[in-house]
Amino acid sequence: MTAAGYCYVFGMGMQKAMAYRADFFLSIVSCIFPIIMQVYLWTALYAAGAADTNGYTYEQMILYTLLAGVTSRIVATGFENDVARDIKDGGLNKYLVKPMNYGAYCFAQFAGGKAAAAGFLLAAAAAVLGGAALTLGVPFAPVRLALYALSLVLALVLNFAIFFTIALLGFWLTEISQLFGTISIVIMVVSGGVFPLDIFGPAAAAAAAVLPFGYTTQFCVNIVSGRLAMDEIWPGFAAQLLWTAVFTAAHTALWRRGAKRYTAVGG
Amino acid sequence: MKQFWERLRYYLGLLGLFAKYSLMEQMEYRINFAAGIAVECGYMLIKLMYAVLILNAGAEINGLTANEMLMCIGTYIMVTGVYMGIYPNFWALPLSVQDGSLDMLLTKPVNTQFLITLRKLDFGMPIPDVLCGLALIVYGWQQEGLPVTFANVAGFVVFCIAGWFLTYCLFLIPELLSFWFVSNNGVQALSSAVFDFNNTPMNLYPKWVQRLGIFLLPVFLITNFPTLFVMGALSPAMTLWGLAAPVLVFAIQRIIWRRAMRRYTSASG
Repeated sequence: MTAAGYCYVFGMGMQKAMAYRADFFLSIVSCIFPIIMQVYLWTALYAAGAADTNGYTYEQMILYTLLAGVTSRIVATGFENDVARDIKDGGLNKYLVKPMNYGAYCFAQFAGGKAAAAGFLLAAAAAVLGGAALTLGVPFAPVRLALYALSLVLALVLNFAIFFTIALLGFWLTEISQLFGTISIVIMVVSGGVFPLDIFGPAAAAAAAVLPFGYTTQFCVNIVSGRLAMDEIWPGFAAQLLWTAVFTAAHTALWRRGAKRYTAVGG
Repeated sequence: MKQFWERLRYYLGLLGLFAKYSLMEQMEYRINFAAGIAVECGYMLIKLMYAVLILNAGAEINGLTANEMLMCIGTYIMVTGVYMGIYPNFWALPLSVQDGSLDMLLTKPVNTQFLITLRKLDFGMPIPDVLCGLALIVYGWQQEGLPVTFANVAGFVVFCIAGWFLTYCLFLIPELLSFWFVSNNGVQALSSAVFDFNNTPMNLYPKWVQRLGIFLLPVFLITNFPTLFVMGALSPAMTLWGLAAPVLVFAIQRIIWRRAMRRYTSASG
């Protein structure tokens, strides 16, 4: 399939995301509530002088909470169930007979869906950053904002690679929709989407630095919050690229083996 | 009165049958059963992170000690677990409205709401939540040195049951919107997000949020009132409200249910 074909799929992804507009906006609004809850939690803990956060100041923690909520939403996937269903129900047939790359097709559709939400979410991120600059007095260097934007793009690609790899396990496991639920939650936690992992001690911080998941949320947020020094940012980008390459190689290998094993069901 | 007890016995018997067939079905697909437990363990992990933070802080915040807050979080985890036991019915309701499979259920000679919301019981998902929630409650209760009297335990159990019933009513209302709208995923996400305010005790929120969560959308009753009762921190008026609110919300939910049923038109043949 040509680049124009994938651009068309990108457009379809946008349309699909906006098909139920009320649903779309309500689900985005719903991600505000956990953020509000955590802001009150941290405010109460810091006010009581009892927050054990491994060096995070109140301002850094509030900023982390706000930005992690938006960032984890930006990089979130959701296509994995569609891939598993295609494999299980035989929907994959129609893609196999066409001159196209199924992974690229999924990515184009995923990116289209993200583009539909991006305007709203990036506006939310800008509002958070502007609000933080005004109320918390946190200055933001333009270079960090630019690096944050770059890290978001790489995090999106990395998260796609991780979840596409997991989705292809559907070739071997017939019923894995519940497994996706578990994996999504665990990945959200270990990516720092709920709390920064380094507040749970040095072991958690070391795990976040080594494993790929922290590079989808925590790394991006720490760039803009100033928690990471400039010389610590570049190795982070390298880790994002490295893990993307690893998962791309993994899902390419899984696809080759899985496609050979695949038995078409249905029409 | 005699008729009431006979009906109650009949419906309890039906519930027993539902439980038996649900268990048989789940034992047929054991990997799914294990996967359900794993999913709940994932959600529990997030809730436990809040508990760890509060326990590490170890401070008294707005009148509640860390152990008492742990009891609130434990109650939330436990009530959520028991709710997950009937969640498959709630999840299936919008689908059965869309594909018309509700038709068959409407023809059965039993209360429709009872049949639709309780016919499938999940035994896997509640296991980790109930065990973990109970452990947190017992630990917090013991560490805080709260008296273990019959009145305290009975009051705690009564408020937990009231909280579960309130959860049932509050979560059914968003599902009923599927009778009006094709997709209600957004409303479901929103209601889950509001329910998750119980991840932390209500005393961490400002007074106006507490009032909203107690009187307007009474989600804070579900997990805070059992602990507050044991602490002796509930006024008689609040105790009364804690018991009356589930009945009031049930009445509202019944009105919406009847309107939803009147609106239903079969989607298939």
